[in-house]
Amino acid sequence: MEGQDSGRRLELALQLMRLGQLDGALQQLRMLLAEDPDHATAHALLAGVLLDQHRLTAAEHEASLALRIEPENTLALHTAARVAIAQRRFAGARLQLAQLLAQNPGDAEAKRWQARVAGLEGRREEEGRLLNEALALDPEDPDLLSDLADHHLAAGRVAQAEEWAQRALEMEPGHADSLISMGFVLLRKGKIEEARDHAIWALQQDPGDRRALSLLVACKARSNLFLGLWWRWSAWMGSLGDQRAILVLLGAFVLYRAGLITAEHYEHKNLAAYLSVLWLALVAYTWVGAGLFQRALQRELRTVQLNKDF
Amino acid sequence: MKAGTYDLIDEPKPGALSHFAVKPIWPLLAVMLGGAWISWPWFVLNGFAVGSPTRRRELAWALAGPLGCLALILVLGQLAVQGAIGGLTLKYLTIGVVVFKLYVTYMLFTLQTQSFSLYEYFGGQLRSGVFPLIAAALLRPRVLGQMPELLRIVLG
Repeated sequence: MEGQDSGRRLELALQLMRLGQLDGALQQLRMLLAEDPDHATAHALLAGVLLDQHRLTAAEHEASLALRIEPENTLALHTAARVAIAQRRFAGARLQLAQLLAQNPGDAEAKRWQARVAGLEGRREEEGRLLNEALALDPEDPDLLSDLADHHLAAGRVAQAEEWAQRALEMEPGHADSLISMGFVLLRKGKIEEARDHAIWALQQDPGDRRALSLLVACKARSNLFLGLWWRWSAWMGSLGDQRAILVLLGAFVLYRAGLITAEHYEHKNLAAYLSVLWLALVAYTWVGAGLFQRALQRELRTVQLNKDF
Repeated sequence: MKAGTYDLIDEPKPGALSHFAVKPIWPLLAVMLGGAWISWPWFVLNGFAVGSPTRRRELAWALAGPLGCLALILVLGQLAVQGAIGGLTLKYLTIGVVVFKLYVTYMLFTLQTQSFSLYEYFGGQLRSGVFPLIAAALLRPRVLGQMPELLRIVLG
């Protein structure tokens, strides 16, 4: 009876996850784990939900609990690898993905994530090779085709990126990641309105889709220099992770203070004044920019309407 | 935060002090306008007020802040007394003390931000920190003025 309940809760949680109802899925999994704390799959699914909510510490904890209970649980290994990638712990992710492929050499998903790690570490050629290997294992996976589009776009091969995104959309016309990949291709080609429509379509499926929001913001930033600069700065800082971002800010501060000390020591009063004004402008811009940018995005999200021809 | 279910490690567990909690941005601003003497204890109080899951790490950082600053100042002082550094070099190296203070403060801010987002998400109320911040800025000269010079540099 208890096993049946667990099964039902697990099924319900999966359904809710598919619908993007993460809070509901989280509640079901918590109730399941309150009754059965050693349910490895429930821990792994919970880790996945927490990862989607960007609660990385808790996701890491749940994935490691799942693996402690069942060290070879495929779902737990997949989720643990995805959490490690989100935390930029690439060595850990590589180990888990290697274990998955040792257990099942035909695991195209694990290959795809290996490619993701290679891409994030800047090994673009290896990323392309791994994506093609994964494609040989599963030629009809739209996630994979969309990743190939992103890979080519990152390398500046816009026509090829468009071809892969098109193939992904032919495979599954409403596939959110492929719509977003195509949106980025269109943005690169200067078709801002069409790119925006792709972002909105993806957001209608999942209003919390981070990539779709990124695309929408990138479209907005393209039409406004002030916001565009902020977007590039913010995206770059975001890609560094908290620790490195703090170090970049502190590095900028050290440069400013060292410049100021040098200018004052050699009595370059004008230089010292310029440096101070520049620093103040940077502080004001990064301070005010965030608020203005958020307001602009909220306004955009309130007024979004899909083009009738889309 | 939600009763009768499995606990998640990142969820805050607010206690009796929760009505003193403010957004972590206020203690961050306090280090600039008031000084570390108000900012770091404020972060610790804030963390314990909402039962932040990282409150012990926050406390460790808040303790490491003054100790690290003190160690840096003593090392620089020793080198200066021995004549190993001086003039412009000493001025450059003193930037390290300020940078260390800011690093500790940013670490505290980063640690607390996620707990507070969850706290607010589950309906937790936060006060405005504007009045304590103004008070800290006004009290700064008086508080720091009464401290010995070494402590003033560490906690200023």
